Amino acid sequence: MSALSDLSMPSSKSSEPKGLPLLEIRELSLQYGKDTHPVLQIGNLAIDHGETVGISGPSGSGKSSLLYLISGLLKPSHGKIIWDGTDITTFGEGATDRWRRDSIGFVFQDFHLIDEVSPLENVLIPASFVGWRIDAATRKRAHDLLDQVGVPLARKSTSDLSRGEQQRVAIARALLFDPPIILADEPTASLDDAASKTATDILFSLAGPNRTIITVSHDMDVIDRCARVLRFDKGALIDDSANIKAKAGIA
Amino acid sequence: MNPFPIVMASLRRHWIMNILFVLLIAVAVAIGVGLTAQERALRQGSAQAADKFDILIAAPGSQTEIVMNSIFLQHSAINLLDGPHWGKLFDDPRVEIAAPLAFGDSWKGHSIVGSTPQFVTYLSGGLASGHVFKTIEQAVIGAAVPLAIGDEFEPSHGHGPEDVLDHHHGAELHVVGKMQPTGTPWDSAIIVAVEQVWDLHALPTGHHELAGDEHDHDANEAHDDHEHDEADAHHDDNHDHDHAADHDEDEHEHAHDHDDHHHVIRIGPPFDLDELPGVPAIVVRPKSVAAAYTLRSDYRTDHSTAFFPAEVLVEMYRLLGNAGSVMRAMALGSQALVVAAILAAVLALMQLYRKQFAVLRALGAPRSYVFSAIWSYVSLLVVTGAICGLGLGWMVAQSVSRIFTAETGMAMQASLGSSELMLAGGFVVIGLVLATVPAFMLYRRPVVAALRSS
Repeated sequence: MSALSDLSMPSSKSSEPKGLPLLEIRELSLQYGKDTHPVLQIGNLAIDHGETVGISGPSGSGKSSLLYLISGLLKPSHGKIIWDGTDITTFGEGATDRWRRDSIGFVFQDFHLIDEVSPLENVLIPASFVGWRIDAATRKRAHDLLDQVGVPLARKSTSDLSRGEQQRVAIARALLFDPPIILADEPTASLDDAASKTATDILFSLAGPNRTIITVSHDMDVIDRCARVLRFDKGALIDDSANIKAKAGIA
Repeated sequence: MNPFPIVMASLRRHWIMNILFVLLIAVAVAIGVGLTAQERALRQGSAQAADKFDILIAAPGSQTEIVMNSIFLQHSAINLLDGPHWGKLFDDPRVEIAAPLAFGDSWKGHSIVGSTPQFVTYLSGGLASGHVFKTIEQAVIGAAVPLAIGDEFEPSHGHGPEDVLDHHHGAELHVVGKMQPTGTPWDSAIIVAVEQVWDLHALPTGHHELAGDEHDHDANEAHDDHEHDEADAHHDDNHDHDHAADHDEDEHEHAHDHDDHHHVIRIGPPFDLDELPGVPAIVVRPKSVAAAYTLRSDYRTDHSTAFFPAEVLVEMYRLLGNAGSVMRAMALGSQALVVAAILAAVLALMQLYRKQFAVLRALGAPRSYVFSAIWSYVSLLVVTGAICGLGLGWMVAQSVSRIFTAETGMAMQASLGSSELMLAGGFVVIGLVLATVPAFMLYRRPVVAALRSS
């Protein structure tokens, strides 16, 4: 793997620090029925540019729902999500799709790569949402990303990759459009210890002034790497604190 | 947006099932295409076979049977038209060509038909080689008869394998001419002078015996050593004349007296009316369309029937068309079943893919990307299957036509026409419309629920 620091390349997206937080959540609630108990309720929450935010809590506490709300895959029942000064909950579906494509990089627990195409083509899949042809610059970026996450370009078969390599390809795919936010949902849950450590190293190497990492995890090694930890229980944010270990560089 | 990376991946992922889909569609389309192409080939082939048969005049009876006997050489027992009723056609100013047809004999399954030299020339449009028969011992063969000019053969009575019939006339015929291919069952026929057939069956030969004919023939001239002492017994009113059935099964040679009384039998018109035996059918080429209609009208009497074979073919096509409609309806039904089966399978398959498409949505794919990926995938199967089905149907129709041609001699050329293209096109359109069903189902599926599913 070449320099991990290359992955936190400067973003050209409009989320450059302007004094405003990257994301602001205001009086947000999500409920699946009119008279049902909200599955998620957050008063006010701001996330700054370049933060690494870990989200923890028991299953069903609303952690993943927060990622889906931030990405626009779920619409809140109430409240606002302000990104770069704009309430993304007011976006139409097309605008939300475009915003998600350009501004969010998703990393999943099970990678969700397409086995029938090569690792390179997997990284390029998001480009096929945009146009018929993939330009040379995008193709070069995909090459570079694969190189940087340590998956040799010579590998033609995705299904032959180890699980750790597959997660690295998934991370490269999330970075194709150089998004300012990476949302990772249990990124190490399907990996062994060594692969988990490599993936975590790569993931946190992405953080920088222009890229924020928000990750849901039960893996304390991952949470310990986050500078800020949000703890949820029964749909409520019960703790929002700086991670001393991370700040101290212990993890 | 370019959904084809996903489409190609879907095709590769379940390639055996996809091949089965394509095969199913291909077979369904091929059934319809094959039926239509075959039916058209049959129509064209039969119309071509009937082309030279403007009017058929025969004894009253089934016109279809007369057509089957005369044009398609599928012989069966039909009534004979008495000599006096057809002999006058030769003096009719409305008639360009009139030719009696006499059946009954064969050689190795090839029909031997008695007619006139003029008919041979007319039917063949000029011979490929040799000349028309000039004596009753000479024969002209169709293009597909495995004999050559100069060969001799012995006709058998009736139709069927020679060894089964084992029923020879004891006459040797010489091949003197070969017709050009006509693309009709007549390519497999052997044509002899009608007088030869009459003579072999001990019937009057259409001509008064000429005094002085005896012993004046040379080596190249025809002669017949039969004496017609049984002619009167055969030459009476209309009677069923089934050569294959009305003879004793015993092997026999005709009981002609073989004495030294040689005589020459003239061939071809003009005939002597009082010496004309009955014949199964007369082919008439009229001089004009008006003449055709008046001839048809004049010969529709108690003693004879006259008709345009085209009329019978049209009726046969109508029946064929009805049968074809039923078969086409069944083919359409099978196509609908195939589409439904494939749709059900795709819907089941899409349940497996729902998480993959939810992930694509999470990565920023618009709904339209998901829709077009699934629609393109199903459409590609349908279009590929339909194209393969067109080819398969054409090949099946070609093979059936070839077998049919080999068995009947009737040239049939199956081709892909607009109706086959429309049939395959219709299938494709229905397939493309129905492909929207799974596409819409995944298009509408909530992303988060799919992402959370295991």
